[in-house]
Amino acid sequence: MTEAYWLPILWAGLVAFAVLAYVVLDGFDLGLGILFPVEKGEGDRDVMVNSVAPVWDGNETWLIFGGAALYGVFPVAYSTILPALYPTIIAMLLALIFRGVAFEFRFRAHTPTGRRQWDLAFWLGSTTAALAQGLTLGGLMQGIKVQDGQYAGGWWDWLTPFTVLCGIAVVIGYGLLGACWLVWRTEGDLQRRSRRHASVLGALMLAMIVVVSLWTPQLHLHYLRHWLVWPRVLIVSPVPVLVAALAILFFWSLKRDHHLTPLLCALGWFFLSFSGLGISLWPWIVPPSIDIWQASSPPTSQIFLLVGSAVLVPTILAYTAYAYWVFRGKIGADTHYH
Amino acid sequence: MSTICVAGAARRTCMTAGHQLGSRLYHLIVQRSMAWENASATSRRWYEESKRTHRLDVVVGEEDIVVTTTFAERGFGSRSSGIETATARSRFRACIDKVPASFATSPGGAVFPFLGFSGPSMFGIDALYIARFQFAFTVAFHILFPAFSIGLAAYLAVLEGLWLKTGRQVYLDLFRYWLKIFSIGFAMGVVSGLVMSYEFGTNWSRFATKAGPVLGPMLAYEVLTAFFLEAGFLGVMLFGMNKVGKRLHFAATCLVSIGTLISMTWILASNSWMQTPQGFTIEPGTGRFLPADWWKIVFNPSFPYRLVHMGLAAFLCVAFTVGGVGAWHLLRARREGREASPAVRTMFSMAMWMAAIVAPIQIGAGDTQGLNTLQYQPAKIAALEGDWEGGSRAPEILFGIPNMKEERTDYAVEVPLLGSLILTHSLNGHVPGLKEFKPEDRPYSPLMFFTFRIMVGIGFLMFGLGLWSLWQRWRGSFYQSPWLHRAALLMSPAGFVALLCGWITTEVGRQPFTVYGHLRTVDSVSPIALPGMATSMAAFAVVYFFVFGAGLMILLRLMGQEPVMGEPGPDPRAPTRTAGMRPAPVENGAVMQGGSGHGYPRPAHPDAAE
Repeated sequence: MTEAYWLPILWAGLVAFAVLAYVVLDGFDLGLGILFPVEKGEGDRDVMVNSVAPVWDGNETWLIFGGAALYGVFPVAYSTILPALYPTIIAMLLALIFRGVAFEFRFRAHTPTGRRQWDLAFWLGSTTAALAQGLTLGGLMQGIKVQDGQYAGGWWDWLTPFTVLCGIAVVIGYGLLGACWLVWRTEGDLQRRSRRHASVLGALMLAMIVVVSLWTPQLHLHYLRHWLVWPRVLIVSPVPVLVAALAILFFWSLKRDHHLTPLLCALGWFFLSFSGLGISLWPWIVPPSIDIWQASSPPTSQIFLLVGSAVLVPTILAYTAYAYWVFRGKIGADTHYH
Repeated sequence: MSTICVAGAARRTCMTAGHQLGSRLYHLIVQRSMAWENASATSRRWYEESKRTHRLDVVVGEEDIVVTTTFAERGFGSRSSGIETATARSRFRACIDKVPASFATSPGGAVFPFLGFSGPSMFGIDALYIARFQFAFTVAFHILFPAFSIGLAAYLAVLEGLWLKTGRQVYLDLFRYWLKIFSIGFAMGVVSGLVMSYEFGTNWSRFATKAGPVLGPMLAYEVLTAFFLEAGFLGVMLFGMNKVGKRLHFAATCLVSIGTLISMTWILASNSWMQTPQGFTIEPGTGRFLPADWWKIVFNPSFPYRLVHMGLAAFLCVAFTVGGVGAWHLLRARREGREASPAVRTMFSMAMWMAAIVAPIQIGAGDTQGLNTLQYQPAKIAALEGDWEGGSRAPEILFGIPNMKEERTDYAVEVPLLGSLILTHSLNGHVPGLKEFKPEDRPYSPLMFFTFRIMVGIGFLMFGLGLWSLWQRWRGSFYQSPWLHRAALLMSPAGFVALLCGWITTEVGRQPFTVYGHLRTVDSVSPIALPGMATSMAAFAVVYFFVFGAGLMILLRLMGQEPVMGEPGPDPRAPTRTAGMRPAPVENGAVMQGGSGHGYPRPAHPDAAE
């Protein structure tokens, strides 16, 4: 095996890891924003925002890393996916601007109206960002028209029933992560309500997983082959089984007043769904025409970045864990980070 | 090359025929006809797979290549669904050793004319200009915040270090005062930077494909070595003083500051490579930049000069902001007939030391960067000087309006010999003129001519203010000199203005290339049609003015409050946000500062808020 063969595989793994890290980390803090309309109390909203204020910045950095790594290692994918999904990407970026500054601005607003406006920006920004990410994911899964290494489709190609479903699924999924995060990090009334929200959103999330899983193989025979071809079916069949097992554990632990278990189950669902998407896509990076080898930059670029990543990514994980550790524990109304 | 040409034509034809095999065909035909033995495992696998599933057949003849495919495949991408079947049978004459320029240099150019970016639209504005304007707009907003963060993080580290060393309360007060401002500026930097990391793909996809192998890894390193470091320790820096203790907190502050400096290093290495590219080869056929020597790529000729110039610029931006805020509070104290607080005096003094020391160094750094540019990008020098003829013993044009059409600078006010003296440090030195360069290779002089002069002018004003402050110090009237304070207040945004002007000068001076001398801007743009580009441009403009306008208001309000003894940081037990929620003037009217009228409660009285 040459390096031109295994380097893109390693990098596909690393980029997938970065995207997953982004989804699970920023997922719960976007989820808090999505839950804003059902948590109207100013005190509760402060607790929600304070529970992620010290870490949201790091969470979002994974998205920047995903973009930069794609640019450096799979430039062909970077330069076809982004123009193809231009409207959803731009919508996501604009939404994240509103939501990112709302973290700081809502505490600095000097009138109640100003504060309500930034709360609204926080909710709209979080929800739109989640929706746009779902649309982007759906748009990628359903395929991108490529010609001469450049996007060749139309302006509205990304808007189909499938992508809309993916968008809604991601909003629900992030909402679930946010609710589970609150179950873990808060106490009292807010925690009790969050538990109720988590169980509703958990049921919706399961339904979404089932619908998207059944729909995806219909998009292309290639996807179907990846799931139903013997002996591959043996390797992939545990995925749905595990989803079901986690569902049982999730609802049981919610009932039994566990604090952390529901969040872990929700993260497990995300991990499994993400793996499922990976199984469907492999080895494509821009379905249906570009695979990871065609999309990759020359080995010199990949090695240059891989050497540093091998050292830096574990270091980053270590100090990110430390940052979470410093701000551990239940967030009460008396915790003031602003 | 001939085979590549044929394969390219085959791919286009197959795509037009309405099926999805085109991009695979390209590789298949090349591999099949040129060197099947050397084909990669992937290509062989495809070929075998395609032969089976799509009944693909490629016959390479003496003059013809015949591609026959029959396939059944679900519709992709658009809303087409169901099963389509099509047969494409294509014959191409092999055009021996003759590759159409449009294919060899810019595959998109020949294929996408209907998308409207290869020629001017009916309004004379095409998607390329919108793409450029949008990128310039977003990056111009963005560049202000990192510059602010770089300078302010270093200042905060110095303040906290001084506090730990001397134990003087005034340093802690100043640290907390500026920390609140830092957190707002940093958040705006993060969100506006996120846009940048994706805009290379959305607006400049053809640039991203070609230069991605060189620039992508550098940006990824920036994220890995700098962004994560900053984001990871920012939480501790902002909110963690009570949780981790003084020394660890100081370490976090230093790490955030180091992170901003590392970030600047990588981004300037990338930017400098685009200005003075080296250490690469260009892949035939695709036009991709293949990295050959990473050391040469990172340490390209203009990088050290640009790094120093930009770093000093960031420090000066913050020095003059801090100085302006200090001056504002000194003036206000004077008007109210009271003594300014020690924190105000300290920050003004520190800022003026920076102005006196760093401004002259910056002028020297700018001069060396000019010499470097003269060596590597003479067209940029000619354009920013507005000099059309060039030659030795050239004059310096102080003012004028460069006229690109008539190839002269109108209304020029010249100083004889000065041009040669400044640029070459010799009266007889040769300076370049714009006429030495082909019209299509000239940067747009009228803009750069002015931005360059504004930047240089501000640089000397900064130096002047520094000298003035030294003189007032020597006279012992440093804190009692209202005209010095007024000048410092007026100069508070000067750093940012100079920074933007310098940035415009150097980036417009790189035109009409994105990678200087190798890749033209017109060949870099994404295949996005004009309406889409224009819509997103409008959205960016509205959102940026609204969001960053609000951010600026909040920053100015924070700066308008005077730092006080026992300044609460962003992690106060006396919650500023509780105060912020209330209609503050009613409850805290007693502590409002005279004349400010913003109604924001002063943190001087945390007890009142509780």
